[in-house]
Amino acid sequence: MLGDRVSRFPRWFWPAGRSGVGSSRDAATGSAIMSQPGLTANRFLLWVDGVGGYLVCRDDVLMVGQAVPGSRVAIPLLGDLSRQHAILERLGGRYVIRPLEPTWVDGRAAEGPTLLQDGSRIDMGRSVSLRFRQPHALSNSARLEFLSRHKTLLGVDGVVLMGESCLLGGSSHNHIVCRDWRSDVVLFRKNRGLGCRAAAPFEVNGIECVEACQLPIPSRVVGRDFSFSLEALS
Amino acid sequence: MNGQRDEREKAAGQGSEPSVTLEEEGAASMRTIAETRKGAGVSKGPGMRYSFANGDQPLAGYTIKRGVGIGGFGEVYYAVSDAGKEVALKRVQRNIDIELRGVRHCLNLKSPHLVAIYDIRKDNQGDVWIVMEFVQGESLKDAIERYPQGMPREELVRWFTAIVEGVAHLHDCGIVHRDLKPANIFDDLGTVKVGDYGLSKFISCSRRDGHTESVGTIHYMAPEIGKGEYGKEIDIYALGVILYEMATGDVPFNGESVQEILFKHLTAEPDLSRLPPDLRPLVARALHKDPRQRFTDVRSMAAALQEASGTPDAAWKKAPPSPPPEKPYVEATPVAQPVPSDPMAEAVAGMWQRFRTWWYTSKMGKPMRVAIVAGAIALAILNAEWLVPTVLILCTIRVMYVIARSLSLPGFAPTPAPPTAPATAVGRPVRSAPAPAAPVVATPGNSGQPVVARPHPTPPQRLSPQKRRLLARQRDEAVRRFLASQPWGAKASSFLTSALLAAGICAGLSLLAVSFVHAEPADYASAAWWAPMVWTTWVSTLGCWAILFLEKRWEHEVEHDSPRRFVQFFAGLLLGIAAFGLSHWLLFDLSAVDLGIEDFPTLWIPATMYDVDGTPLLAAFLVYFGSLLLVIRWWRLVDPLRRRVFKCGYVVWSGLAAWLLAELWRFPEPWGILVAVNMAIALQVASGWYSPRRREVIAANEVVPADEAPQHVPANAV
Repeated sequence: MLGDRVSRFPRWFWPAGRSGVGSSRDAATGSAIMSQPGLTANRFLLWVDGVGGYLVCRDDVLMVGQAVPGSRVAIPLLGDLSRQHAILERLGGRYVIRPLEPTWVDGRAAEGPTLLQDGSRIDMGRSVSLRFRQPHALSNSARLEFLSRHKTLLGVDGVVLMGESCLLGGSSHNHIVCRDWRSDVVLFRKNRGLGCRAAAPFEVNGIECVEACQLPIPSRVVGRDFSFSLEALS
Repeated sequence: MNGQRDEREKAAGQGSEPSVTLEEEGAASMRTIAETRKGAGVSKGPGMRYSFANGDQPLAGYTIKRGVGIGGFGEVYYAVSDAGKEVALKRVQRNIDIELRGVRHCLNLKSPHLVAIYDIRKDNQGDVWIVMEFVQGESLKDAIERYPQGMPREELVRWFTAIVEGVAHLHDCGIVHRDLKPANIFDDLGTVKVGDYGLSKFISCSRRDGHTESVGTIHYMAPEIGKGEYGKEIDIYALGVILYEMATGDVPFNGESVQEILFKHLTAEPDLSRLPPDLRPLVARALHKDPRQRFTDVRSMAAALQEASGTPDAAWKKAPPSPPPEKPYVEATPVAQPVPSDPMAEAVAGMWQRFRTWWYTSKMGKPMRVAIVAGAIALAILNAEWLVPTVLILCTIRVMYVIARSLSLPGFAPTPAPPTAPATAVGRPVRSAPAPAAPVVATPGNSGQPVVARPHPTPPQRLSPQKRRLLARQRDEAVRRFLASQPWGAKASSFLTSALLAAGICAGLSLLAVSFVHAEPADYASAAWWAPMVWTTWVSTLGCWAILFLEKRWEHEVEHDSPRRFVQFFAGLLLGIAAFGLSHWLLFDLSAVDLGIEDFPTLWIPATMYDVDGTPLLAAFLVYFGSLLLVIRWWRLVDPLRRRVFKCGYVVWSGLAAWLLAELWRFPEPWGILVAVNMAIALQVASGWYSPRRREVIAANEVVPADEAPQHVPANAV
């Protein structure tokens, strides 16, 4: 089973010339995949006060697997999974799941790359189920919700697959729904880093900020009726 | 993190500072406010403000990750111990020993349905922290919100029996919860847990001091709390309210103010008709005003619920999951007297209804519909010669019929109009309290004492034109809301003033114009001189009145172009009829003085519009005045929020448009144009206008309730 996976894996996983993946041609073995910087870096924790904790992953290609000590998969899950169970990949505005181990999408076994729709249910292994949400039609970001009681890192209520932007606000089309907020906040890619934009002025690490500004990690953002923190993941 | 700690200290010392709301200020003063906030170190906005942020360690051994909520008793955080144990940390801000005694009493309670309390600790600053079990998952409040029509019975029983287990355990230990509410009850991955017990000694005082949460909790307060009785019956009462809310989606007693809700708890009977019949006796008993008449213990309540819900194969399981609530019985509405049917009105209404059904269900495209409407209007205008008299005769018959009917049927009055006027008159409460509307500006070096500044009458110069336009728009929206709240009396008196003024202006202008048209000195006594004068005066006056009347209906609304034009068009048709009638009555032949170009091709003008000698017939009047009011956006001339009180451009444009229309329809030349120009001048002069300064004042007093404030969504969000 394992051998089959490893031999099959590179054929469809590495499209030629894909950026952000690194030396993809060498990635013939599991350890090589694990060492890909694109799989584990570029993540941070977003703690939204009064709302929840979120793991935000910015890479286009994300590995899902079991959370074990020393694991470096992008989305580790505390469940009965393989250490490298599936790969989530963003292709333009759509998301594709590439199963490495038994995976079902909306109840159908996924044999190869499978396109995910907003609301798709992903079952992995024997007991882990996730819900894939792409709540905003114009954004290429998405969210993973936990349907089973399996969690990822401590205190994380959901995973945000962040493309260009991550929307926080009161209505349901936001990636992070903050029901009591009256204004929306947008986190967006800014050069290599992150930016933050809000209608009302806000403070970043105690420094006043009007409209939009750069967000370092870690940082603390406080607005009139909202506050959240960004925490780096080691 | 010392800075934040300092900030917290300052914030604690300034609890009574007036809150700052950004909505009113716009971008202009945002910077000022932001500086204020930094200087004073406080932002008591409508939202939450946590003293600690991710990474802080106020208690040795625990790292705060994020805030969970701010309740009446202090802030709650999600934190992780050094070893990785998740906990909830609650900082007790009102550090009173009695409260802590209550918590200590509960420290060692063990029940799967209670949120466990692990420890009580003091930090270096002397603040007391309660270390609690961290509960994941939604609260009962969230669950109720998911089912606005009431929960499925299965779900309801699951929640309720578990809540009762937790509360019963508290009661067994001699503890009264005192603050049972859906926001305190959680579904921790399948296990329902009751939290926040043992902290509620001063529930009644803390809830009535205007804290945001007070309205939320007051809904669950038993009537005897006012008398200072805190027996376990108050928990049973609260459970009754919760049960009612779970079954219907609403609390039994609701109202605008805290006083109103408290009063309802004391006096009003719950509306049980919204509940499924099998729950009514149960809720009625739990919500009894007299505590001795309620259930004696909570377990009997759960037993009653299970009995009401029956065995697992009872009927309710087969029924749809959320039983549609019966139509709520409205008590206060007086039942209208059955009015004897009116066969004529019914027949017409039935025909109209059938036509509407056909119109809205048929599969015609938009162009087809427009063509049909245009064709019907054209046909009606061309046949106006006999159509208008017929309609008038029919209307007369109808009026006579109604009068005869009302006389012959004793006690029958025309259907009373619904009392809309008081409702509109109340409108939005205009709060003129200066504090929320005014920005708070702290003078440097005096961080403690806020100075209340006047609202900015004009935004500072550095604003970009777009921003300024945005501000002006927001301000005008506020004024429109103010206009909407004006009582009918004020509107009527302003309409009458404008109407009289407009009539006077029209008369003066007509006099002036007609004396120009008759270049040679005329015989002032002859009809040839005064008939055109009277005609022009009256037609333009009636036109002004129509526009002014429509504007009174429209002034508080957002502009909708096409519907308004359409309504104006119909007003124009009526004006055409009036103009035709007047010209006949005054024996005034408009075509006698025609300055138009004679050789204009007139082949396509239908024969029904003009007589052989060129005298305009009714159809010509209808066409001309209908199109005149369709083409020009007259409402803009009388908008109380127009940019300038008088614009010559409007006069020029309406004269030009009227000339083009007169050429198009071959309407006798000076008269139609005269009417249009008269109207353009009179309307602008006579109608009310709010100066920008006055608008600022109105907008500053018009405080938008926070939940209705416009959402600021970044335009380029994605």
